[in-house]
Amino acid sequence: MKRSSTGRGRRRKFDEIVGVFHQDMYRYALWLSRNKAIAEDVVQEALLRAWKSLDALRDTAAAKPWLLTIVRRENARFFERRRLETVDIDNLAPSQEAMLAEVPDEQLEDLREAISELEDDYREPLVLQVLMGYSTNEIAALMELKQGAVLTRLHRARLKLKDCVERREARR
Amino acid sequence: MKKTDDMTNCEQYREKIGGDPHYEGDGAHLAGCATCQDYRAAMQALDGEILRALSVPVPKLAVPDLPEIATADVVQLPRRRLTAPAWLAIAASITVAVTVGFLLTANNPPPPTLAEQIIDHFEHEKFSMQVSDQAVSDDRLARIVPANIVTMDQPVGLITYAQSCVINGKQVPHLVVQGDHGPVTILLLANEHIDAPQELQSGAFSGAIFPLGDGSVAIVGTDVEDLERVEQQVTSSVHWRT
Repeated sequence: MKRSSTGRGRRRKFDEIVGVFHQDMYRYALWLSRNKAIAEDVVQEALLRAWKSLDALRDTAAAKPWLLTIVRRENARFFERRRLETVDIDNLAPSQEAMLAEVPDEQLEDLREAISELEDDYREPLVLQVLMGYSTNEIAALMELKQGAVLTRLHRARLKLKDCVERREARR
Repeated sequence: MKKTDDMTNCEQYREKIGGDPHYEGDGAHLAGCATCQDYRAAMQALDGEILRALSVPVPKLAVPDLPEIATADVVQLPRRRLTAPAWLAIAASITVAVTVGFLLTANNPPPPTLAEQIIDHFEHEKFSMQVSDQAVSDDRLARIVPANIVTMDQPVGLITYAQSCVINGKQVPHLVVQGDHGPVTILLLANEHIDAPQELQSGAFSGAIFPLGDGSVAIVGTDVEDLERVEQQVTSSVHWRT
């Protein structure tokens, strides 16, 4: 008699969704923390939490927002933990040189630096919209904001980046 | 740029485009305003660059060691052979029944209890059990303790940690207040009805889940903390709204 196990099915489901969304998880964690090492730790913690609560994910079509929400919580926990351990958070982020090290494109480097320098409140909705494909409604729900506030932050983030790019181009 | 009355429209339109460069509304304004057309094109081009910048290289996926999770095993039956005699089918059925029974009893431990889940979560966020005099902001507290689910009409002490957490598949407010002898964790379990208090123990910390109306409250602190007093404060303050 051949035996199949829901344990193996569970692992298969986990591997499938993580295989598809791992890049999104890492990039979201990286742009939240602005530090490669922290992003990797956050993703590891998020993967563990996702594994433990996989049964709560009824619809695999919702896997991406589910995983990103876990990443967001784990990132918040990381910094909360650091705050309570009285470590200077400013010393942890940003490690831009590490983020940019693999990129030879100078313009792209400038833009990454500018994005990295955006305030958290501006950077996160931008990442969610541009990189993760979230609608402003979805961003509002995740960040517990009104849609108008999300639109304002997105607009200001773009204006800052536009201004920054133009100023750097003018200096050249 | 369109003049006078349409100036506001240009500003409004650019705000919308700044919020979402792929915004498709206000087509009439866009059709008649070359400056806004340029602005839209510039924002869309910038977005392409932003996307490229955000798409940083990703290191190879390293999945951590995943703990065993109790799951219900199932048995895949062999394909039915049309020529098999009846006694073979009966024997196979008995084998299946015995195997399923064995697997259910031997390999399928019961799901974690509410108390076990709370201890697991408490240990995961033990870092929050810090002596502190820094209160969380009212805004944060209002977000974490949503008024449509639970209200607290009396002070329960200095709240120094507030997080929205998942216990038993439900979102619950996780607070830490400063007690007389150190930090105390409070979990407001709006939809977890229990009939009687259940003890909680995690190393040097102990506490209990107390029934409270249609829900319950978990309180965990150091062994020397007067948790009864904290419980009285919490139960007289908390009101479920669900």
